[in-house]
Amino acid sequence: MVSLHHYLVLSAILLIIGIYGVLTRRNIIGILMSIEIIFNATNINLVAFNHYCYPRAIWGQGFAIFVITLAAAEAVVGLSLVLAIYRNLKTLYVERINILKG
Amino acid sequence: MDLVFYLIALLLLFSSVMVVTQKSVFTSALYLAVALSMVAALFVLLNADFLAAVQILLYVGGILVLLAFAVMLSSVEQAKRETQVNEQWLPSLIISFGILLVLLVSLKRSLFLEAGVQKNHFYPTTEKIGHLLLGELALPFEVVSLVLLASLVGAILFSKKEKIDG
Amino acid sequence: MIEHSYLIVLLPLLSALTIFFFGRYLPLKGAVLGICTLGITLIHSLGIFSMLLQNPSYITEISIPWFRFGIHQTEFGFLIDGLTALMLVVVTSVSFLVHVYSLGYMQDDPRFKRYYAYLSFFTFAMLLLVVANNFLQMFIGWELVGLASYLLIGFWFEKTSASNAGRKAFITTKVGDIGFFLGILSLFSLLGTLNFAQVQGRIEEGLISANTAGIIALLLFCGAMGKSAQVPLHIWLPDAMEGPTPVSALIHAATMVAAGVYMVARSYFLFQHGPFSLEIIAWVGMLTAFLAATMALVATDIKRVLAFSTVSQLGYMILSMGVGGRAEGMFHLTTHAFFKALLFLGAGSVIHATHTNNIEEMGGLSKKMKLTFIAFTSAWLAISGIWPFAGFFSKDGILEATLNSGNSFLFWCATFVAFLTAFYMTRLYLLVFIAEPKDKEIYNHAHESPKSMTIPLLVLALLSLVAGFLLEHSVPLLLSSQALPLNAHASSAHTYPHWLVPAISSAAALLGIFLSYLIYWLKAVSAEKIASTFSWPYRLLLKKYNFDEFYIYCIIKPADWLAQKLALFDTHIFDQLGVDGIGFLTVKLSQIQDWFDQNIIDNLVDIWGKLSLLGSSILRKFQTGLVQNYILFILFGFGLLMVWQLKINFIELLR
Repeated sequence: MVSLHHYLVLSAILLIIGIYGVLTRRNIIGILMSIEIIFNATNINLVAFNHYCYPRAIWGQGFAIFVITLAAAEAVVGLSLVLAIYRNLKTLYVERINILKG
Repeated sequence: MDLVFYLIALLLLFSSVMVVTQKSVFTSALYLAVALSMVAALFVLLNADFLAAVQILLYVGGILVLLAFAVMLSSVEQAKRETQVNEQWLPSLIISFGILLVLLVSLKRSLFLEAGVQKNHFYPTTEKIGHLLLGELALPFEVVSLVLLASLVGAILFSKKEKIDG
Repeated sequence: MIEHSYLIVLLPLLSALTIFFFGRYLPLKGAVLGICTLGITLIHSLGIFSMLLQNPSYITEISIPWFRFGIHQTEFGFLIDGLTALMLVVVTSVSFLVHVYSLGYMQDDPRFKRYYAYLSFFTFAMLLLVVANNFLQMFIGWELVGLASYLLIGFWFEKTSASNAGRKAFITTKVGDIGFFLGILSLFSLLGTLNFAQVQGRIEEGLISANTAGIIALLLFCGAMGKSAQVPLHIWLPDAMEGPTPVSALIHAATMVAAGVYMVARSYFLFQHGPFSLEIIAWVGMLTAFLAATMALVATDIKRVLAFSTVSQLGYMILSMGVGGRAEGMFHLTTHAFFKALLFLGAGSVIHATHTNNIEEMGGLSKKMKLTFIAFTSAWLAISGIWPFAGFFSKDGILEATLNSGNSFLFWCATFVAFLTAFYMTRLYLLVFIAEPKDKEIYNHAHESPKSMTIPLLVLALLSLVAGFLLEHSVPLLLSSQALPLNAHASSAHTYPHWLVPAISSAAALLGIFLSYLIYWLKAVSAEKIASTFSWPYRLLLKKYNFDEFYIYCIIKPADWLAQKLALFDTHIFDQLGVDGIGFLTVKLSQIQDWFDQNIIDNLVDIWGKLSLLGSSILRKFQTGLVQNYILFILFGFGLLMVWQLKINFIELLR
């Protein structure tokens, strides 16, 4: 029988994978993808708690919808920034985006 | 039922690892599509039918396409030649596993009050979510719509070609 | 008119300031302004004088509060009574004439403007003194006239003797002023007021004993001794003749030196309350009159003869005060102001013509300077006490007062001084105007002075002639307002015929003139022979009784010696042991501190610097500028925090 803990462990591993991606990817688009994975881990958590602890309520899913919405907004702004950066600096590697470094 | 979960989980973890480790960003994007679809499948397992649909529509259909566009607009050739992982991957790996360990320990120690789950008792959630969003969560809903508007404007502003004179 | 009496004081001050600052833009460098101002004040004073003559009891007092100590208040005010009115007329008239006279006398002086500023300033100060209604204000005026006197004596300060004389005058009078000020302080502490009327009222209430009053009176008299050149503080007046002659006439003959007499007259109630003080001042006055008269016998400088004569006459006035003749003293002050100013101005005219001060080089000037000669003759007769000139009346009054006091010794001494006065004045007169000219060159170059000089002379000559008649009865009338009880034995001793005193004084004067005539004109007895016969007294007189030497040896030299020893003490003990020693110690101490600073403090600072350099060289490595690096650190810290929070025991976990 799959319990709440299974989902939580799964989402923890997913979170760690996302964090590892954020820490190691050189490409900004890769980092954005990793962040999407982290969001998904969170959503799994929310929905799982909703399902196992308060099956009659719907708030967890509602919250997940908000998270998805904000993720979409983040992706839109982030990608447009990426394109602007690429247009100006001709690179997407984060260690090369250092024009603010003294 | 359990088998389905394990299968989905395995596929999800595999594709996620591929997303963060693949050299080509485009391939990563494709793996990400798989991972997001698996998450949608999990939502189905968790009786969240509406959310699963939203996941597919928004993530796979919207965000991923955007990502693919971005990848293709930036130079792909460059990405293939160079390493896509920076020099701190080893410490990152260690710390990530450390945190995972800590999380697992804390999960092991915690106990959640689980309500009794009615087996195979599925009922659609769309109506309830609709009532929730336009009822109790009306204000956050409106705020989020504003955020979306702002991000829309911002995206247009950023992606607009800059004038030389500003 | 009397309500605006403050103008009398204010106008000369304004004129002095205006001349001093803007004199060069004014006609005749401000002299005209000074003369006009003085003319206005003179008319004003005459008006007040005539008002008070009609109604002597009409006393006006205007005052504004100045400052207060606790319950005691001091005002700044004006008191116009008979005494003041008399002094006002004396001061303004002589000052006016001197202002006019100076036009001619000082016309070539490079500091003409400053001279007039000083002269106006002096007039202001003197009037302030005269109209004061309290002792403090009087003291202020008193010191201001001292200042003006100092400035004017040292007017030709290029001459060392002039600047020295100025200093001598200032310091000598200051010695007396200490006594004056102590007296004022005692009055204030004992009676709580300085207003004349209030002081008088409180003394008559018997607030202080007779002895205290006498001592305070004597302290005040110390000031008069300095200002009015009484023995032993008379030494400055002959030296003060270094100043311009009109100044000598105004300040050192007519007005300022009379301030002491005026002050005694003003505070006469104090003296009367402690009668022994009156006796002392009578003797001081007598001594002064006698010593100065004898010194005048042998002096050869025309101005010095007159200066000694002034001292002698001032002694006369003080004597008069001392024997109870307040009105007579003031009367003599007035007449003396006129004829002595005339004498000085005449002498100035002579000096102007001959460019010398030595009477032994002059002679026969009566032919060259007719107007001066006439004026001088009038003054000579006046001071000698020949009827009907002014000096006769006032001197006669003093002698009478002296006789009335019952002290016959004083009377005969005074008579003798009158004789001496007539003698030396005749000597001066003969040597300057009548005798054969001794220096042909001087005689040939001599000429009459300009009109601006001779007209004041003639005016004063007229005054010397008629002042006695005019004022003989009005002065006692004016002074009667301060109704004073006469001395107890004064009226009772009137046991001689009223013609006796005039006869004696006239006889003495005539005898003096005759003897002088005998010696200096007929040469019946050679002056040199007398001098060689009485060589010791002669030299004593020439040296002015060795007063100066006495002061030099008894006060100045010891003070110098003490100062030198103290200076040695200073240089050797204080400087070397004290200051230098402390300096040495300071240097040593600071060397130690320097070593400490260099080796310990600095090194500490350096170590801190190096430490922070080291630390920053390590910490700098963490700031890579890579965002992912930072996130790594954050997560590392987050992990540690969680481990600590959840108290995870890894060893247990592994097991």
